[in-house]
Amino acid sequence: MTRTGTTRTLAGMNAFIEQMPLRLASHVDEGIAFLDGDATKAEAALLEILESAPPGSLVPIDFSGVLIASAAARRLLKRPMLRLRAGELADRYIVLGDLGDSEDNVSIMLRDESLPMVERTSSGPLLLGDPDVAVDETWRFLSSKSSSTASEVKEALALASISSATNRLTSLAKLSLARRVDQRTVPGGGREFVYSAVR
Amino acid sequence: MRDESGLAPNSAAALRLELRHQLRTGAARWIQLGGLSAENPLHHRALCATLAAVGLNPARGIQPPKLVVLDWSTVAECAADGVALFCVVATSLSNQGTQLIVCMPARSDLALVISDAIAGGIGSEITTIPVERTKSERVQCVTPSVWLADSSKSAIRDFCGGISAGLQRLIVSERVRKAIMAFATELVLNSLQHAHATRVKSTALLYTRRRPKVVEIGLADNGVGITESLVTTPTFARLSHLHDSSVVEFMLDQAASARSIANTNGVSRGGLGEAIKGLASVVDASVTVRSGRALVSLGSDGRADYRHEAFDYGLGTQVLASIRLGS
Repeated sequence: MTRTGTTRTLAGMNAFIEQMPLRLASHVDEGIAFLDGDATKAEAALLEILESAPPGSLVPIDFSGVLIASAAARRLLKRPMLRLRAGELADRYIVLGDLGDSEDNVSIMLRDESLPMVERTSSGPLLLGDPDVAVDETWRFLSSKSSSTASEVKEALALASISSATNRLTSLAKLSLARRVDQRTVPGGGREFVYSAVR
Repeated sequence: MRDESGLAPNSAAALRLELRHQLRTGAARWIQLGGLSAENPLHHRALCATLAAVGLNPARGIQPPKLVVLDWSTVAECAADGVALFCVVATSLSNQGTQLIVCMPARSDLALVISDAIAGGIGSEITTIPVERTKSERVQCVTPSVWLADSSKSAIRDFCGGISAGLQRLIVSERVRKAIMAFATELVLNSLQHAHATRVKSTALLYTRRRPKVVEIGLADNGVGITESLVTTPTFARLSHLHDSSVVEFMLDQAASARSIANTNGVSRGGLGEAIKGLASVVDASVTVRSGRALVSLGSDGRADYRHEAFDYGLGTQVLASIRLGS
């Protein structure tokens, strides 16, 4: 999942506690997950990992060797993602990897369910699921840096106000696409949160 | 099947001569298979009427004939959905106790495709009549055709993996390959999930001589059809008074558009419609769906070019995606 030659900054590495990848092939019979029921075991395994993982955990799902259709992808990802976003499993994150020929199927499901998620590809992280432009733009900027703040987002994306940038980062965090990793004081008074993107 | 010299008939003409009495009395039926694919609505309509007449439409209550000859000998080309439907028809006839004779195609490439389909099993009592071959190399299987109805994972893996490997051999871009794989996967899923079919056959063909090369993915099943599957859900019960063709067009249009009437009720918009849209966005492709009495074709933009036909009868569902690579 973490490819040889990939450089990640220490700050970026420390933003999340990366767990051992969930190898989907170990939970799917014969490497084929088409029907809803084909992903039941994998969903249970994913939920178990998320429930037992400490806050700040990032759980990679390794799809290598598995061909998955949208129905099984829905079973695998929908409930865990909804539980993450509802705060039931707060401060846990999921990232997808090695989707191979199943990339479009998973993307179709994510778009259908309005559940954008991050995929690690050989050319860098990719946001699947056709999110709205603001989410996509903000995540792209954030994922290009180890961490960032609302004031940096405002400046980089030429937003009208700091509150717009804050709202965008808050939205990303609510979608489990970014994590609030720190807070720091702002020159002139006040403080701002530091966010890091799931990638 | 013996001629006067004691040998089995070695041509369609000899067979027809031998069966002339049974064909006259209706004990045997001769079906020309030119209309198997839904690509040509006129020919397909005629074939559907013939299938109803040999007892495959239970609503008609027709006694099936003892013997049916499935004649490929005059067929020069058949799209992937037609090859798949051939297997479903042959199996359905066999299951109702009809003896089958298959006259093989004259063109050597199509004969190989049909031999592959038959090798996958199409019934217990099949006699094949070879015909004089004309050498031809226009079409070949991308991967062997498979039966999917038993949800056999090895069959699904062989078929989808075979298409993926075939596309890699053709040096198709990763973007296009993933879109084709998504279509193939969602097509198989839809049939397994919604058709309630006992037989699902899928085929993938490559037309090597066409420029650009064309890949066809075809699937046929003996399931309940899209209309029946849809109107039995409470959300779509209001569509039950419409003709199959209107329901199929409605379903594809909803799936292919951003307007979702179903999602709010917890019903997915449907992966197949999304996959068709995704396929059409990256490559020149057309999709034909014949389900029950409906035939709906979508143009290369995925939704704007609907053509639909209303038949009197249709066996199960068949889908054909025709994908022009490199366009």
